[in-house]
Amino acid sequence: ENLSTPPLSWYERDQLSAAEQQALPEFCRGAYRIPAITPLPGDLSEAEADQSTSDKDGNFELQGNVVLQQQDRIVRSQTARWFQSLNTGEFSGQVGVTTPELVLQGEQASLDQTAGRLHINQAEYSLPGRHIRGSADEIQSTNTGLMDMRNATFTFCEPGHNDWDIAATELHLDQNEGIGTAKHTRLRIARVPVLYLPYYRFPIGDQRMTGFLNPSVAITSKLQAEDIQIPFYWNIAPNYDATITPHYVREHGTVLESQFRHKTRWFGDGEFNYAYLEKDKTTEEKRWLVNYQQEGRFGSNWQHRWVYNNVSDDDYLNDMTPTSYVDRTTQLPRRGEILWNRNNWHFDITGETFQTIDPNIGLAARPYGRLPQLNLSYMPLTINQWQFQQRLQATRFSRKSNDIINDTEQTLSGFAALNGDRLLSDTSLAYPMEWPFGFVKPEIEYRYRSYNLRDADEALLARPDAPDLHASFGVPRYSLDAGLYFDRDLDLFGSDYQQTLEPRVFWVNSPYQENQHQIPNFDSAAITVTYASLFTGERFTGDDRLADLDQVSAGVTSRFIRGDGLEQFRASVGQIFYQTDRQVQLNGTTVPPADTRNTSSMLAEVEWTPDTHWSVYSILEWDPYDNYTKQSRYGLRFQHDNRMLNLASNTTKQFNASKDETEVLSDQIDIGAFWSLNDRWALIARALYDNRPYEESPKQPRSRILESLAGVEYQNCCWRVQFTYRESSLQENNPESEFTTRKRYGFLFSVQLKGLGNFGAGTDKLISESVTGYSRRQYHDY
Amino acid sequence: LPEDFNQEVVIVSDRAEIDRQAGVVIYQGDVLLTQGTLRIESDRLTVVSTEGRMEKATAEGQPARYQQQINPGSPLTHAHAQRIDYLAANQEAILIGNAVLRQDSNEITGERIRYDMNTEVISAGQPADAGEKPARIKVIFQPKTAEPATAPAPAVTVPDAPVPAETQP
Amino acid sequence: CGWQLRGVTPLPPEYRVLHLQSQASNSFNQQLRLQLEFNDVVLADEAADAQAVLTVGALEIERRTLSINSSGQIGEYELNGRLEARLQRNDRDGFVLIELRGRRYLSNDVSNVVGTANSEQQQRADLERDMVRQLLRRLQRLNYDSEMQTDDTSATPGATPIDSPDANGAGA
Repeated sequence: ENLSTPPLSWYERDQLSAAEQQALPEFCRGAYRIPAITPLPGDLSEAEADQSTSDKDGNFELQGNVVLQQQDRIVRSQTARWFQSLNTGEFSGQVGVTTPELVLQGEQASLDQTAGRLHINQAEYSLPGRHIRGSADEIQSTNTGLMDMRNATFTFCEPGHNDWDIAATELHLDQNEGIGTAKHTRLRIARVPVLYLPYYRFPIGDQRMTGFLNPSVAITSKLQAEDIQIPFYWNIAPNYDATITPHYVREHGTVLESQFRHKTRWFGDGEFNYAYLEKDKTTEEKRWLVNYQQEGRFGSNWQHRWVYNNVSDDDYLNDMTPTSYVDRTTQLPRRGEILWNRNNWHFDITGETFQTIDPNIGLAARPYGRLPQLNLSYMPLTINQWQFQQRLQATRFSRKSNDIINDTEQTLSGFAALNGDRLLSDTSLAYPMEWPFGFVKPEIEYRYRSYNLRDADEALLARPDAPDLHASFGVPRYSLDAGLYFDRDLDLFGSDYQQTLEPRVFWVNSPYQENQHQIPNFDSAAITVTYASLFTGERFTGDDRLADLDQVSAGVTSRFIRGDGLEQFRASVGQIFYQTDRQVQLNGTTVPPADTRNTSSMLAEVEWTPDTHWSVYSILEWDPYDNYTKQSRYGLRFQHDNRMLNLASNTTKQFNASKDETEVLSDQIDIGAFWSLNDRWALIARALYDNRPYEESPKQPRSRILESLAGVEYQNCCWRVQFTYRESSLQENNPESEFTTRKRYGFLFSVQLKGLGNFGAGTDKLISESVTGYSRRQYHDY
Repeated sequence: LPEDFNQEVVIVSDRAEIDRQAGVVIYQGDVLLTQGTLRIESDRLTVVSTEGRMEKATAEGQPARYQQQINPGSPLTHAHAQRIDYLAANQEAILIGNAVLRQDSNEITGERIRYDMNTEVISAGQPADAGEKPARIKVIFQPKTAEPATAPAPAVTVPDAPVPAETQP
Repeated sequence: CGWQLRGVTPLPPEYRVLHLQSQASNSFNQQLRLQLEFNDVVLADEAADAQAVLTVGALEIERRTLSINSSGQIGEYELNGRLEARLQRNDRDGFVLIELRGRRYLSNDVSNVVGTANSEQQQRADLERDMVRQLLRRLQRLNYDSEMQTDDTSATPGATPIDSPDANGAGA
């Protein structure tokens, strides 16, 4: 027999089970419990009462504590009349309706079982699974999860506490889509209306509604409004919607931001953002932003992705987002891709150019557009059998050779002005062998490149070392990768461990192909030196530089593996032994001293993970020739429930031969913490400190604190307040300034109404970028 | 059927005692009373008749069973209870003690069920008078199948073929 | 000193026949299948005819600024990888939760955005290979019964919190 559920299925703390009490934070007085109802089969109905009378047409009249159950719905009332022929019923007197999803209490209700519609008025309701409750003059609910209410309220707060609620003349909750829509909405704080929205759409489900703009306000330290955004949502059609957001930015004015989203069967989902400001308060110019994204698939193998960005000026992204993190994007992509994938085959056509919004990047350093690039590749992976892989690519690279940057015209000439087409073919044959005790992977690869360079001016052609405009060459590459696994069991601090010893050798040889310096560097870059990079047998990523190689890399890794397979400690050390100098360079032909040495620097990595919450790591790159650490990185990570701490120090140095001393390139200490003191209070702190000595070397940043964030968070069962102070350093664009960066100070106050998403300047994104491992759960997040 | 009441009453039992001046006959042991479509089985049956017409029959059993077809259109009604008072005069049956009545797909259980054969109204349970906890009644029903969906007006029924009369014991 | 070449360490016989349900990328799945089959695991198409189901979540790689160079531009990026997998034996009502983490870093060349993108792609692929190896090692040495948990301990009454994945912005 189903025990009677308390009003709205809300259980006070002492009514909860020990486990439920333990999971409940101390600031909540109780919790909803999803009513456990054993459903009746089919369309059988079962009723209990003090009295019943029924006539020959099967119309019943029940009196006295009536309990009527149909499937998983139980209706309680003082009197009930059921018309069997119509399969409808009327209930009055302390009517209570309970289903696993919904609990209703009202004075009077009618139910149509065939249509699955229930109508109740003067009702209180709750959705226990969603921690939501409210009241309404009239509620119509269907058993397909839809609820329509008139003169309704909606809140996440516990019964008896109305810290905030939403009142609306019409409120529609769709539990399948997890969407709530309301008309003539008033957001009320302690019953006092603070905001009116004609039409408001909000998530009620757990699923995060991306793109849900909630009204947000950010206030400066002098209590001026720094940033106000009030979105107006317009649901044009089931697969079309638009959001118009007047966005007031204190220093610049009110930008009208509009977003149109659509879902289509063939072209997939798309989003178009357009922001426009007629006259900027400070720059007095027109400011605008265009962003378009589209993604879709057709058939099981074809996919397409498009993105387009265009901003009126370089500072738009930073000026118009005062509350969020400093946007350090330097290039905005414009890219279209059509892709086809099937088993190991892949094909794509890509077109890509960039809008560079960092004026300090000169024209010669701006990226080449790929207009277009075609890729065809066959990349099967095998073990203990032949593995043939083939990659074909044709690309047309081009970029502007003159442009206005910071109102000064820049033009490219000579080598920098070259554009060109590139055809490449990489064919590789390998026989990867693996055994439990080790692996051997021999591989032969032939890399063919053919260029057709264009836009060469006479001066360049007239030079003695003029580039060959139709260079084409092929370079073989032979490699052998081999490793062994040794184990031994070990008893350490009383528990059994398995220690492994994994020596590894990687031999690679590829002859020198000269004159590659005469080919522009379209898409290659130097490899970031890490322990793993020792065993790639590459010096460059991308395809414009085929490194000459004659080297053997050797390394060893040892792991201490706990009984359950958790790798508690790992240490690796390795080095490359060169047989010849490394001739091929990214630019030019001069071979730097480091490339004439016969060993690389020594790479060492250590990571200690005492348990799943802690990890300490260190990465060192030791230069044996000049006896200094080129890279030294230390880090500590802690994460447990709502407590996160990470400390990191990253230092890179180089050796200045002329001064015969080492120079610090960058030395930064990063401390980030999100620390919940108890269920209510949490502290947020982050500092990225520049520890680099700047005696007389280049200009230094205005302050040593490059990024900092300090904040405190208070929450209770239905809302959360975050109060953060933020300093960040922006690039200083004006050359006369003696500093390389300028400071920006910000002060954010954000209120988050639980269950409704964020109603305040997006501090979540700010914090998740400051503290690794922090990703705000939008819900009450105990 | 409506004409059941003036059909002949046939009672079969192991034993019978007759109290002539009270006009009461008490049958005991596997008692079976039939009158038209009416059948009452019980362990003990007390029949009160006046001028040769059965006025009231009180059946007791573990449980006593009752079955009748009230009118041609409607299906058989089955019921059982510890005691069944069958009042021929005002065409009413009262079931007392673990009473269960089944009609079509509906079933009513309770401590006391009254079945008025004229109006075909079934009423069960008593109002919860203060203090004493009322005995609860329980109803199980399913949506009516192909009945014309009309308001609660009496349903029009087509008469079935008459049920063959029981033979005289 | 006790070193010997590693012998065969197959997966425990109780889940030698696995059904793989993975939301990870194609390349991740391809490598995982290859490694599982190499460790003589039979991959069953249907969960019903497998001894256990291995559910692998998507490999979430979050890119974060590691250091800022002296002119306020991003000097290095950090890639933090996180993967969650669940092994559920058919003959047990509990499951084992496997959480794996990985970290890579790469230098950002502001004047060579395509080159940086290529090296980021290479680091992501390397992180993926590492995660496949880590998952294999955990499966090989897993002690099912001692690590089994029944309910999703993180579930609180009323609603289960969901991480909020951020759609990355328009910038490169």
